[in-house]
Amino acid sequence: MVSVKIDSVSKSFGNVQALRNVSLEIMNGEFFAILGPSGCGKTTLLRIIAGLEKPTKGRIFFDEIDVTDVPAEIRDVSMVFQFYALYPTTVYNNIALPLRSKGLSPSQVHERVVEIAKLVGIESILNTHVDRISVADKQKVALARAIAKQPQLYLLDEPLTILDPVSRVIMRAELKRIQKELKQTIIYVTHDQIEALTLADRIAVMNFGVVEQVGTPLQVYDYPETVFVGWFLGEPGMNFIEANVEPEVLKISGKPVVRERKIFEDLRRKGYEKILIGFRPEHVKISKTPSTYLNGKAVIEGVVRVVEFMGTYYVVDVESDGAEFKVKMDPRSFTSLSINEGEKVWCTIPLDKILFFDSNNNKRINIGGSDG
Amino acid sequence: MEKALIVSEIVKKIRGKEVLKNVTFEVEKGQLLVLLGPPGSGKTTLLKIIAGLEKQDSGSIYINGERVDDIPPYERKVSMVFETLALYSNMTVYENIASPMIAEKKPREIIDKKVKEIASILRIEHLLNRRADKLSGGERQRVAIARALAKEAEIYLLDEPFSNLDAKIRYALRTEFKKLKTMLGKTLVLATSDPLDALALSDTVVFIEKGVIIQKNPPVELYYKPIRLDISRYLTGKILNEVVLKKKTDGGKTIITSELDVVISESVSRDIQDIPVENIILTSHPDNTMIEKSVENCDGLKIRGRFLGYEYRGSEFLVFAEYKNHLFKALKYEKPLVDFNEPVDICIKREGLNFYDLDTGTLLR
Repeated sequence: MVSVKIDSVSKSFGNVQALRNVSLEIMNGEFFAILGPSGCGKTTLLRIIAGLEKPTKGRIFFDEIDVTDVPAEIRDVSMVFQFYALYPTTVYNNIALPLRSKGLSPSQVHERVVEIAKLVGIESILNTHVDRISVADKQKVALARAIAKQPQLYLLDEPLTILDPVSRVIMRAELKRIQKELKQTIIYVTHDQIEALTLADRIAVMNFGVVEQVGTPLQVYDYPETVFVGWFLGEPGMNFIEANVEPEVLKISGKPVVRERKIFEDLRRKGYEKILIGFRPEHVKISKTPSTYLNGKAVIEGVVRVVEFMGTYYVVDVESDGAEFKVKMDPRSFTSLSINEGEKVWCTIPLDKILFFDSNNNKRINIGGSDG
Repeated sequence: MEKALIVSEIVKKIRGKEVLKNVTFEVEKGQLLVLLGPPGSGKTTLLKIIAGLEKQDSGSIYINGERVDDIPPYERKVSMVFETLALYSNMTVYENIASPMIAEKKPREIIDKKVKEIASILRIEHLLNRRADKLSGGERQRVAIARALAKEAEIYLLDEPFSNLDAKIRYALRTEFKKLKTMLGKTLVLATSDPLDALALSDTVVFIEKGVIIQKNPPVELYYKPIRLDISRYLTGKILNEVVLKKKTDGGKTIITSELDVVISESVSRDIQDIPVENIILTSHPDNTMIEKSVENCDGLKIRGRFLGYEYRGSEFLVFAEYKNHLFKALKYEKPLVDFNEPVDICIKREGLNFYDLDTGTLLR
């Protein structure tokens, strides 16, 4: 078990800057996810932690010891990749190999192989050749082999991507359980927000080589620090609408939507005239009857432009004088309301579900000191 | 309603193999029909036949009531976007979108107005002066769609227009595309293997497999009542809940058994009584299923399983439980307060249950 500190790390490949001044602190025994779209630099960062790449600038610390110049093979980390690479032999031998190279006696090796196989749930296939086992089992063997190394740190790079959805669910649960039992530090790289939100204790969301936010799954989902994090997380992502800060009200396309004194006074005090208001599609309530101003709620009047049926939910696109946003509805509410394209609707959003962003730098504005 | 397109009894053989088998359907004016099916189901061939780029062996195509079988592609008034996007790389986005209208010798002001209108809906106005070879994948896709829609045509054909795009861009482009359809009132036929494209976009979905039309419905009907079990699985991407039941009649009494030790409510038992087959598979979506520590009154199927975990999806949780190696899924809006491996009740509600013949996979009820 180890803590990892990434201190102002940058990495360039020729003219391409893959990482820009990345700083992170990963705690002892933490399940830490690095989440971002393809090309955001997350795998490069993982390779730098493993020692497979050298940072152009910055340092890496394991338990406060600088390991930046320590070669990969003595960093004591285990990596599991998206595509497992197994030795063409039995499952048993695959797990035993790292143990034998540690100089363990045959009986110690056997004891440990069985123990790990039980932990990962592959004891019944120990004597099977890896060519004859399923994809999910192969990935379990790769994980078992990583555990056999008894590293101080696990680095996982999209290890569940190639699994079918059912195996993925089971492997996710197993991974979480194994991590709890081993009490080890895991850094897990993924582009899949569900994977990160589900598994991680904390998530670093990356974009274009920059860490946009670090927080618990709830923090990054409910209180995104930047427009990118709000947009990237969620299906569909957060809505952002430009609003004018006027003396007594916040207006969208010339229409008042928020009249809460505390909000616009604070925004004006901070010198904002134009901002972005952000809210999640699932926090909007749609009504076909006019809603006037409500205490603690924002009201936006609009017209339904597009309705999309997504199976387990509906997405309704509403336009309000040029500003557009999405509303997510469960099939029951949608059916009972029966909304059609072209219809006029009133949308209410609880004020505590609305966030405010600086439209120049796309960062969240902290209103009245409250900060999720 | 006026028919913009009639596809009538189309048969097509490629190297002796029948790839389209008597395909018939109609598209009303201003409607968006999605041809949904796995890769290799004959969708692209069908689009090419409609466009006149391939010749059918038998059957006819009617556009606006006129039989066009002997009319060459350029006179058919159809516009097609292929999965492989061929843009003129040395031209700007503006020129690419304008090119079909220039070929049609449209007046410059009309071309300009049209290019800007479509570019605005597809949100590519800022790219109009950029060269096509400087675009990202998502941008190229938008430009290709814009160019196809700029062409004056009765019917627009799109082959996998959102493939190769990451989920976020796909999501955004789908909405814009649907808006475009609504605003321009065009008749469109879109081929895709992605069920979400079909559900989100279409007025009607035609499910095609191995060159045969299996089902044609509005998307909501197709989703909730697929006429075959494999279509249901295809549409839901493996989040379907399934329970196999065996029905036997012994001395006038019906006995229902299951290897999953299911407790069946009276109402579902009655439903099953009327079903004329012995091996039945019941399916349901996760939004009609509950996974809780205990479910007291379950009107449906109840199974005692173990809790496996959940997916946190931001606005909801997809909860998983298992019994005898069968995985069950339920949609929940609050975080489940159950520990890994803890026993749970899985209640698959009667509302939303579909009954299929296990042996043939056909819908029974």
